[in-house]
Amino acid sequence: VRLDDLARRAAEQARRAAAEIAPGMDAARYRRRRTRRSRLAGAVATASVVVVALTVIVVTGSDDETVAVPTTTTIPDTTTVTVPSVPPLEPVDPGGEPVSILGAGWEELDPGPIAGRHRMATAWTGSELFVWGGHYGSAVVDPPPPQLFLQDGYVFRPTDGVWTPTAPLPDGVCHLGDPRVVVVGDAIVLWGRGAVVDGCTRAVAYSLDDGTWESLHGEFFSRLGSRVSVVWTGDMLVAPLVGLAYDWDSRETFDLPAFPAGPDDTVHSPQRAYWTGDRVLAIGSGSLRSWAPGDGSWSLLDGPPVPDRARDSVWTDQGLLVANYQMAAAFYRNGVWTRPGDLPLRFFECLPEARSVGGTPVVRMCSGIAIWDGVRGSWVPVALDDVGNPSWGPLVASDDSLYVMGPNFRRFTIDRNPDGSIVVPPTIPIGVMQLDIPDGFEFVSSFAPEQGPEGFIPDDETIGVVFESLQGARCTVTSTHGPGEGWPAGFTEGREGVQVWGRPVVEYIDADGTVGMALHDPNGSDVAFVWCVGLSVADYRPAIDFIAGLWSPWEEPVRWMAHDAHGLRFEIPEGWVLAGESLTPNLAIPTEVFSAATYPMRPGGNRCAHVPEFGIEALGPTDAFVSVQWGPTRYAQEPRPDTFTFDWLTPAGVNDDVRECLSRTDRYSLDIWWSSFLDGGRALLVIIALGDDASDQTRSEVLRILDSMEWVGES
Amino acid sequence: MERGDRRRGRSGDRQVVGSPGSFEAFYRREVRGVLAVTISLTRRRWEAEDAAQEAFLRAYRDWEHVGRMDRPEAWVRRVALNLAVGRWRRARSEARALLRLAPPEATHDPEPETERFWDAVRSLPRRQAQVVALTYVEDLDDEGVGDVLGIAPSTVRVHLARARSALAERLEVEE
Repeated sequence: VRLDDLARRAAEQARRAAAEIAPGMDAARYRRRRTRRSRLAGAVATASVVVVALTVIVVTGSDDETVAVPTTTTIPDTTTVTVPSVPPLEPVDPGGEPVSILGAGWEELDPGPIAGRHRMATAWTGSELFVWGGHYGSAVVDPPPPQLFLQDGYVFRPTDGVWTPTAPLPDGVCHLGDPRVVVVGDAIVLWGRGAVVDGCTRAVAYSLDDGTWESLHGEFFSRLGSRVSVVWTGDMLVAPLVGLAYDWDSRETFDLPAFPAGPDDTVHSPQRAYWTGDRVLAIGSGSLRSWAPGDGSWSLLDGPPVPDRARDSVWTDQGLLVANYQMAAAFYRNGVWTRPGDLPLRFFECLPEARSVGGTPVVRMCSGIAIWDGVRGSWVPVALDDVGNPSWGPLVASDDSLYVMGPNFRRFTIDRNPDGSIVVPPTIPIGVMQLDIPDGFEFVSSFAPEQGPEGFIPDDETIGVVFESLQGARCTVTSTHGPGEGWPAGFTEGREGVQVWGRPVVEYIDADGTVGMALHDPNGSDVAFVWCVGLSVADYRPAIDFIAGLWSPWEEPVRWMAHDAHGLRFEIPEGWVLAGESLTPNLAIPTEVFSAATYPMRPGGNRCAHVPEFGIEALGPTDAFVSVQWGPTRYAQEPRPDTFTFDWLTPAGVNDDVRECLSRTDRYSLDIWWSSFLDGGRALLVIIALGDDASDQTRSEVLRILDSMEWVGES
Repeated sequence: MERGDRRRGRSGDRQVVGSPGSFEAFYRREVRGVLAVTISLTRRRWEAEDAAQEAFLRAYRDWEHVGRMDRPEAWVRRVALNLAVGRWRRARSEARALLRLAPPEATHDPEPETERFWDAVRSLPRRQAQVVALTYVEDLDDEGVGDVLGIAPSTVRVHLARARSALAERLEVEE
């Protein structure tokens, strides 16, 4: 085969194709398009005149001009102020808006009289939620100033969301900082950190029958402190750590056998005590201890097979749950420890909080909440109520819900499917990211690396969640701590495919042709990997849905700076460059107000006065350029839109008039907008240039710059 | 205007002479040729149509000026070629994900061998691709290609030689 023969055949086919297509194209269509584009063209063509002299010109005398054009062609020094912004690490979505996790299983409740409090004493009685005291002010002051603990109390009825006041705490109670609460039949017993005033009452009891307070005295209560765990056995209170029990009916204190020696209660692994129905279990940082009424001593049992540092525990339907700060979890039941699989949450330096929601095991960590689903035999990861922010409010478990009572008062109800499995909310955490589960997929299970007795498994920190569709597709979403480790063995790197957060998602493929996709968390901490199997065609479609459903609550938002020039205030995001001088020095009318770009610009040009030719010269594939000029009102016809969009800018633009003023060889493939609008009696002309690969984020920043423009008057 | 007329003067399209003719007549006469070259340089039918359409729109919008040119057909071809090459290169990156989702839209129902040829042409540097398209699709000589692209015939020859050499190697055919 010769090249010329091949070329001739190819050319002939191109001509035949043209002959087929051409009759469907109609010259009249250009008239229609011309009409649509023509309105501004005539007006802005006037601006194409090169004005050589930098003369001072004031436009006056026209009926439609109510504001004079600025009398200088150089941009005055801009004044810069920082735009009040959401604080760093405020959760944002990829578009930069604050995230609301509400709807992902959480509902906002009326905080009523407890709004703004923290570290309250709380108690769930089976039908009502009691709250007493607490602090106002900074939640992070530790310890909070003792005098700030409040005395008032309220009861919340979940059935109607109504708050009702209770009798306030009696005077003379010792400081109730870090309060502890035990429900004892028809009363609620409270105590706290301890004495502040000599002779104060160490513990009090609130009667659920008549709503009155009773001061509790005696040796048992005098030994209580905020670190002492007390368990109610149905007829007496038992405090293992202080070796005492208290019979509620007779009001007598009894000695318990001496608690086995050794560290058990530490700051980060406080001792908890539980009543199993026939015996007391106690566990803190040490081994499990057991004592039954009538026993002459405590039994020392095997400790949980999880590291002892920073762990919490709770008694649940599954037995005793112990979880530590490294996500390790273990259940103790009938004398045997089992590992249900560690929590599918990402590690933060954070203490676990274990709860029992009507017997269902729950653990809250700083990266999310894990709920044990006994039907699926797996942990269900659930987003925090205020994802991205530390939760300082108490986490209170009722019979079917979790309540967070801190800066917000929110509830997560654990709903059940007909088979008893947990209804998974539409958004769940996966590593440091959040995942909006695509429609049509059901949560199957989660997995996490199992921590050894010594702590971390250093080589594999991958956690993941498995989903299935009714059509039989099975998709796995994983998150691995550390870039570059997000794909399982057998996958090799392919090409860049879809974009998420304006970044390319790298595709991977295994020997069977299964396509996976990897996405880095914006903060560089994790990499997510998604792959799907079980579909006859297009395995990657659901994978794309999953990868697109990932978002990061931890991305630091872009800071915006406000600038004033010619009385126009506008904002540009951090990382953009504001031109320090006019890029159109040969232009008098209109006058350049400001120019900004994602790259450094230089002024001038050889072709047209009104187009910053050199300013757009260095625009790269991912860059953006915005320039705003101020001219007489005859330069515009349309009023400023409420919100700028590229669609709004496009029809009015005569974009080729800008392109033709550029010397770049690729000027006809650049995305250019030139538009104008009336704003406050002034005409503003906008030139926008975007590189081919400008991200959605960059494009949205361009529009926000325009939206931010506001006339504030000459300073 | 016959093709031979277009082979005059390199910058003929920039000369403004006489009164503009009918845009409709110009369009009917040139649309197939312009389409043929945009088809050769784009992968999808809509891209080819779009590039040709945009070029004619620009001609129409400024017909008072373009229509008076000595060689408006060269002007519209150059605009269309620039658009076609630019669009192809941009669309390539945009389409990568889509190509994984579905087979590429059948633009011109090309024969495999033909498509392979044009794929190879599209992979050439921009100017070389344009020279090949004009040479084979429009059957222009070096001077005619130079007229359209606004470059010297000697430059056309250099681009064409390099393009032919690269194509022969990539397509594994005799030059």
